Amino acid sequence: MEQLFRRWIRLFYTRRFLAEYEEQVLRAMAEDVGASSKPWLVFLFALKDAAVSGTRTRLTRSKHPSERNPKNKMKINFFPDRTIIRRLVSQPGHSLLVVAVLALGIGSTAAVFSVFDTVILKDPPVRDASNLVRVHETKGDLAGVAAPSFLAWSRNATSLEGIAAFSSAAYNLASDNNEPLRVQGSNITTNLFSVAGIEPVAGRYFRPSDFSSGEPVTLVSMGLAERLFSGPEQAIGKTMRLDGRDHTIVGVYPNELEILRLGQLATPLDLTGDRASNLAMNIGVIGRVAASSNPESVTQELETIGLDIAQAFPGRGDWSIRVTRLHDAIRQPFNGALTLLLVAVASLLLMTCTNVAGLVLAKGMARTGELSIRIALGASRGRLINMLLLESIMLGLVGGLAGMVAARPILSAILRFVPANLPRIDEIGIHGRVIAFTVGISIAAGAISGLIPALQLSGRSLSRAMSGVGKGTGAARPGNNLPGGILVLAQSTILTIILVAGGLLGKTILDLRSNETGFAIENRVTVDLNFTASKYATDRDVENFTEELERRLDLLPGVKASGTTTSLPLEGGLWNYYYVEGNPNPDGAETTGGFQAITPGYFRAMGIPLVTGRFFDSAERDGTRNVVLVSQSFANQLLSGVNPVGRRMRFSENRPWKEIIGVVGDTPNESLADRSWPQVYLPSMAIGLPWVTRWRRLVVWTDNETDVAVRQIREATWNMDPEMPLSRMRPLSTLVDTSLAKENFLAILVGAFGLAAALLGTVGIFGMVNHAVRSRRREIGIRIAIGEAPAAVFRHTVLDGLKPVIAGLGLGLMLSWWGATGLSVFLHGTDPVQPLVYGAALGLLLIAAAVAASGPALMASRINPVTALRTD
Amino acid sequence: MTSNKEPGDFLPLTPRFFHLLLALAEGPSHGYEMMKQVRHLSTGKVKIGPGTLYESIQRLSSHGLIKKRKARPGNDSRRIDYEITDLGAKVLEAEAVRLAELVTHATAIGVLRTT
Repeated sequence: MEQLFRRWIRLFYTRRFLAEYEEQVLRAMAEDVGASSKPWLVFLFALKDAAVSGTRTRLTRSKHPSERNPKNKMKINFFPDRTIIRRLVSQPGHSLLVVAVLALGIGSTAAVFSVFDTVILKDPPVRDASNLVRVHETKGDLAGVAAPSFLAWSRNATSLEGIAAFSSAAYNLASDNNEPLRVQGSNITTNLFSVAGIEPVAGRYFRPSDFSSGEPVTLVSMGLAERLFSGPEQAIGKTMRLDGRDHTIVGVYPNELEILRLGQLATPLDLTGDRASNLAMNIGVIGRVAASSNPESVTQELETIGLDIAQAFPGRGDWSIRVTRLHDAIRQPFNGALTLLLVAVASLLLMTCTNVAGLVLAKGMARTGELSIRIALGASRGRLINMLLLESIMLGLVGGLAGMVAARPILSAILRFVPANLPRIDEIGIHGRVIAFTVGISIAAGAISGLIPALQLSGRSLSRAMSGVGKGTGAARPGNNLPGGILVLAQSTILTIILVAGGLLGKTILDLRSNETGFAIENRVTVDLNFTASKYATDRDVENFTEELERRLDLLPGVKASGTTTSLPLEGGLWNYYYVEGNPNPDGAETTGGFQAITPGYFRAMGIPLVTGRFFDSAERDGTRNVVLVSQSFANQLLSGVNPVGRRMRFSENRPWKEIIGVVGDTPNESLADRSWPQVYLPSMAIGLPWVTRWRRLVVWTDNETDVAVRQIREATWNMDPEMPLSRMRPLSTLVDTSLAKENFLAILVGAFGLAAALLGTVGIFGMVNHAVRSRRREIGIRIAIGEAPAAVFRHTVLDGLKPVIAGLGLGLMLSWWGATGLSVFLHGTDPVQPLVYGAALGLLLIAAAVAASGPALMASRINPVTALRTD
Repeated sequence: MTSNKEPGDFLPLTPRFFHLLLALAEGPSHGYEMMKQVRHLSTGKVKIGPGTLYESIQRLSSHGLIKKRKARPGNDSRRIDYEITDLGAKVLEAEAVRLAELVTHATAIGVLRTT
């Protein structure tokens, strides 16, 4: 019985307690049992009692005898006691360094999260956002909605509670004093805002009667109302002169629907008459799914309705329906990029944590004395871990606070690089959710940073700890540096991955930039010309103006050529179906490609080369002779390389044949990676679409500086028409920059995080080697004393420091290799396996590590054995 | 470890600690005797097992309320006696006074009928 009891109490009590009381407890038990008439009962009670009190002593420190409630004793003290704060304050250098490093990591993460949260996570600011859908008709890569489809859906669809349409529009806004303004706006159906569930800020939205009255009305955005009329209420009832007609402002809409890119003002969308049968896919549609339905049945219903449309408009081809939740439609284009960014910044934060762990560990080794005194005085391991973790969580929270302050400038730096088409930019900020997130990651970062040091430092045995007291040296054996090595390994792995990712993204940009653009970028200025119908009633009027303007511009000093087009490369212009006469593939209806209307000077102004045949001459400006130019890809794809000059093509069966008179070089359609989209060029008056030809891009090739060229273009234009608004005046090179905005954004940010991570990694490696050298001073001293050359010491120390780096590099390269396929969507055809990028990451990291290690290694090689041994 | 606390800082004592101090107030004693004494004093209401007993002894000693007594010559050397310290006696007295005051109060308001 006694042996059983001995084993039993050894299970529960600490060794320290047993050392003092084991025999006495046994004795008391034996006497109690011996004196009792029911020994078994007493024994069982003693067993239970020992288990309970033994567990209690383990869980609590030696508490006050007045402590009444045993439950209190289980609580972890989350509020730091004064000793912790005192210690953090007493080492200002260390604490500041840790806080600064944490602030960098936490601040960057918070800033990226604020973008991610607004664009990806937060519901759009509309009523019941989950029921609101975007509807598209799609075929291949093409997506849009044609007016007949929308009209049929709104008449027949029952699965949608409401359906509304909008299309983008631009207006010339006459103002009294300033230059004429070009304002981006939209045409909307009367119910657009009510379908979205958004109330007007002031006034009202459109009524059906607004169409019939013939009185032009408009809505303006909150922003425009404030800029032009000093407030929404003041704007109601005022008139604005848009495209030469006075419009009465009936309402002001809030910024919430900016997710649909409605622009500054909205006029009613008229889908009557010709527009009702217009097959151009140029309207956007939103719908509210009925309570009894879901997006899948909406898709089915709209497709059924679509069958009737296909019958009514044969030759339109088969279009399928895509119904997407509005939120998904908004965030989808940026989901991947922002997730990648969040992963990158999270890796940076993880780097930060491992770095801080290294710092805390190194500092903690110097605290061996203090910790061993605590152990000697009876602090349990759990209690030490608790204390050390609390310290680092405190540091994490302080770092988080500093990070919150740092997040604002970091966020504004990020916002400087975000692509202009990133949705909901205005909503991005350090708001409640971001703050809550930041507090969360601060605690997590503190805990992660503190865990390894806490486990390591608290696990030191009493005797070893005691032997180290007062010497300030902890790790006498190399093996003791293992946690530091693991931290460096982890850092090197993460760092390799970030560097490889950044390198691949950078390489992609270089690849895209070095792609032949197909047009000249240098010394070109472009501007949009916007012709109002009231002033320029016919295509002839527009053409006369541009012809005269080009003539005047070409005479100016420095100007080499000028021309206009209906869409520039990289803007993703208009498209249509092509039929080529005698095409070996009669199924030509399925062939699509872009088209644009140009003036004869355009190719010269753009530097687009003529491959074969000839350009338009000025006699062909008016479009009466049916001639076209085609791009190289057109010739390759539709005529399989046969010389197209002299062949004929047309856009649809009932349109006239047009003779191909020449072939020009390819230009990219939407992105620099995409240059094989066939293009057809028409003389500007041949297009027959006034809403297209009234919006011209003028391109001027000039030797003058941009500002001189801008002044020349303004003077020349306004001399002819002082009301002509000139919008988007810019060097042609910005087209390329804009088209690479998303790629640039990713590469710059991942690159910046990579650099920050590299800096942190270098500091981390330095810290680890430095710590190793300090703690092995004595050993190194002895080695030097018995004759090891300082150079050898240097070499060994650097190599020892590099070992975990090399292991991390290998692991990181393997993981990058494995993960790079996930990046391929961002790489636009650049092969994810780039030996150069991997090699560069490897080289950079090795050099950084070697530099970081050589400082402490130099110190090691200069250790004077006499002093080293004496001070030890 | 001695505490430089005032006796009042320890109040109120848990029944367990109060009974243990009370048991030692009658004179130095060893473990089993203390267990028996506590049971007797509390008429079996406060039941202490051997484990709890020594856990309590450890705590009371760490706060300086009791201490080990030097082994008496000729006695069983393995048996360790404990005695109450001056601080312990003061704490015990303070607790007794506190309880007495409560009893007086209970009597005054008629909760406790003495007659």
